[in-house]
Amino acid sequence: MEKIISEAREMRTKYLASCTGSRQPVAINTKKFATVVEEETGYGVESLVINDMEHLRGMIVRFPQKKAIIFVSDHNNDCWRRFTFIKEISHLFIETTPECFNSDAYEQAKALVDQFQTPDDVSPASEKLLHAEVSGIVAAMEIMIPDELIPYVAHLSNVDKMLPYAIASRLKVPQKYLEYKMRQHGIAINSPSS
Amino acid sequence: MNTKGDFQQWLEDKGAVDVRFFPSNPSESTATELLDSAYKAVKAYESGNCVPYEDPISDDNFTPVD
Repeated sequence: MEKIISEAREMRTKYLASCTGSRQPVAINTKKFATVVEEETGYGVESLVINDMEHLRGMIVRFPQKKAIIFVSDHNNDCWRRFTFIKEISHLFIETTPECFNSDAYEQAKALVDQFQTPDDVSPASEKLLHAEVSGIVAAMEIMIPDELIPYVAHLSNVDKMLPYAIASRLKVPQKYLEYKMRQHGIAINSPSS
Repeated sequence: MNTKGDFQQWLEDKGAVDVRFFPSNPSESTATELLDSAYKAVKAYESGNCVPYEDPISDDNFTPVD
C-alpha cells in the first residue's frame, strides 16, 4: 500500500499547489480535486449523484478514450458523499494500466460480498479485486485526512474536547475513517479521557 | 430485480473497460443487489434522472496552525 499512499500524497500536493497556494485546508474541495486529477491523468470525468442506488455508495465506470463516469448515491450524507467521490476518482490514478482493469461486474460484486460470507473461500482473482477496492479507500483517506492534519485533530479532541462526530463533521469526512486514521497514529479520539 | 446479466450487458454495449463498486454495506448485501443498484444507476443516468455532483465547500478553510 506504500505506493498507493505515495501516489495519493503526490496528487494531493498537486491539488494544494493548484488550489490553495500549498496551504493545508481542513477540508478539500472534492470537485476541484477532480479537476486536478483530470488534468494529470487526461481523463474526462462525468460526475453524477443518483437517488436510486441503495446498495452502493458509489461506482466508477471507465470507457476507452479516457472517459469515465462516477456515480455517487444520494443516500450518502455529505461526508460520505465526498469520501465516496474521492475514493472513486482515485482509481483513475492508482490503476493506470489495462492489466489493472476489471470489466466483469459479477466477479467484482461477488468478491466484495464473499469476503464477509465465505472469507476462507476468496479466490486469488477476488483478492486482486478486493485489493483494488481497499486501495481506493486508502487513497481517499490519505487525500482527505493527511498526516498534516493529525496534530490539528488531536488538538480538537484532547484540548477542545470535541467529540469524534463533531471533528469528522469539521473535516467533512466519515467518522469511521477519521477514527481509523487516528488509531494508525496511536491516537484514540473516541475516548473522552484521551 | 436485476439479473446478473443486465448490468454486464450494459457495460459491454457501452464498451466499458473497467468498473469499481463501493458497497454501502457488503456484509448485508448480495452480489445481485449490488448489480441491481448499479443497473438502476446507469438507467437513471440514461433517463436523465440524476444531478451533477457538486461540492460547495470552500477550500479556503485552513487550520489555525497553518
